[in-house]
Amino acid sequence: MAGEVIEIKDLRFRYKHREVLSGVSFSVKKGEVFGFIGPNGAGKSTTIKAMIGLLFPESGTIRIHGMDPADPAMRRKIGYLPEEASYYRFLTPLEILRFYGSVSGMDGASLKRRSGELLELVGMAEFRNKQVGTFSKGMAQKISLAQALLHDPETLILDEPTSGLDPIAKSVLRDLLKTLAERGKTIFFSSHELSEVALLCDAISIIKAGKVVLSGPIGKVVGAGDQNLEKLFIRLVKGEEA
Amino acid sequence: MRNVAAIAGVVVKEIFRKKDFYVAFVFTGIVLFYAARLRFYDVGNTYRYLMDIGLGLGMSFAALLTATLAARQFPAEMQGRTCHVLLSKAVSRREYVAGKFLGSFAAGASCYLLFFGVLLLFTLTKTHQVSFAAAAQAYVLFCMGLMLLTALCTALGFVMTPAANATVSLTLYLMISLYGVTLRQAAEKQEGVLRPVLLAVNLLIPHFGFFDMRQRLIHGWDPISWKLAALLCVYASAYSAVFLAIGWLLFRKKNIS
Repeated sequence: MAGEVIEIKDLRFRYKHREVLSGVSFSVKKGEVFGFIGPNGAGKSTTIKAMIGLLFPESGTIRIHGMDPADPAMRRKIGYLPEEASYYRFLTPLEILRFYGSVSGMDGASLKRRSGELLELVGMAEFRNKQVGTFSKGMAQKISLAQALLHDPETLILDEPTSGLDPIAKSVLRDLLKTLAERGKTIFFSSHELSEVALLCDAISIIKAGKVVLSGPIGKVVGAGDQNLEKLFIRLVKGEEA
Repeated sequence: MRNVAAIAGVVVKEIFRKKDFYVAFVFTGIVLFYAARLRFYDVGNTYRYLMDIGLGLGMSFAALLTATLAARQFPAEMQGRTCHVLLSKAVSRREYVAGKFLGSFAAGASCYLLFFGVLLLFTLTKTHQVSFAAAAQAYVLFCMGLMLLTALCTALGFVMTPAANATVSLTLYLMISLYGVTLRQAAEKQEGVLRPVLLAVNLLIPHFGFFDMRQRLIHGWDPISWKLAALLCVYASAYSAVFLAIGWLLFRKKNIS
């Protein structure tokens, strides 16, 4: 369908004889902020890894900007933030950004400018020349955010973006995501923080045991207010089984 | 090529920012310094012993550092999840394998250059004349052997743990370096089915011993013909390409979780 940046159809993935994804389907429109929520082990990170080409699904299709995730040209259009940030411990934040910028096709001048700007934005400018091996989880997560935004991608794929961040950094991230959404970026993110999802998202999908159990615009799916989302989430994930 | 160079650059930084290289370098320096002060009952030409010890240590440490570096590249990235972000960028898996290989090889060749350069300076101070051509050949050909070893470790890195990979690769490297040249002679002495089997093995294994020019440097012999040196480079490149192709095939569709 026109205007859809992410299209996932009947995605299936098996890990060591266990079906992790059992026909996941959803789509994300251009400029949409899309929340992907579900309990632990539901298949959120597996879906995201398939979307960025780390996992090869057994069947189903993934199209992002009309391209397959195996195509490096597709990955030039996305910025990915992993759930657990891990970087080369012997490099400094500045070197990490220059490295990722270089493999993202950025030229020297814009890379230098963007690296400085983003380190300022995530509050890591004073640590720019310290080796990452000495950093806490939250500091590494900030570097993660900077690298995801570095090449100004059209689409952001964020796996638990607020994980490990302190309240101030969370607030900065929320504001940043709002600003990016206003600028027309497509944002896909998984999260456990339902208040955040309710606050930021235009649409959501709830995944449970490898299947999407509910999907659609947030207004239609839950109405207004994060309390409703939380109740809905608990009912879908837990309550109906009881 | 830009992606390959960027990935290789990170691997080179890794070896010079960890202490392994400096430990090996200082150890070699101490052994050489101590050996230079020894007096072997007025035996002349002791520089030959020094060169033998120095080249042996330099080559061994360069092979050890290169093999361990190349062997840990992919498993460490899988375990540390550093490859998740890298492979989410516009980097193909072919570029990833090539970058890791090139970086490990460049790191090993740079380490050996330092060992080799210091040793040459050391022997020159002992008034031993070294042919520049022979020295250049010895360096380049040893690096070709390192390239082969790096490609082998890179390929095995997709199926083995770093420790198992380094052990298997270095054992093969050592055994083939020491006994590879005698394999053909041994095969020709055999009868029955063992003879063609050993001849086939001799033909298939990468002969690391071809790249060891130590004796020419130690004894001041002439360099080998440049045509032969070029053929040896082609030989190493062909084997490396085969190992890298195997590595790429193993990694091409590998799930990274």
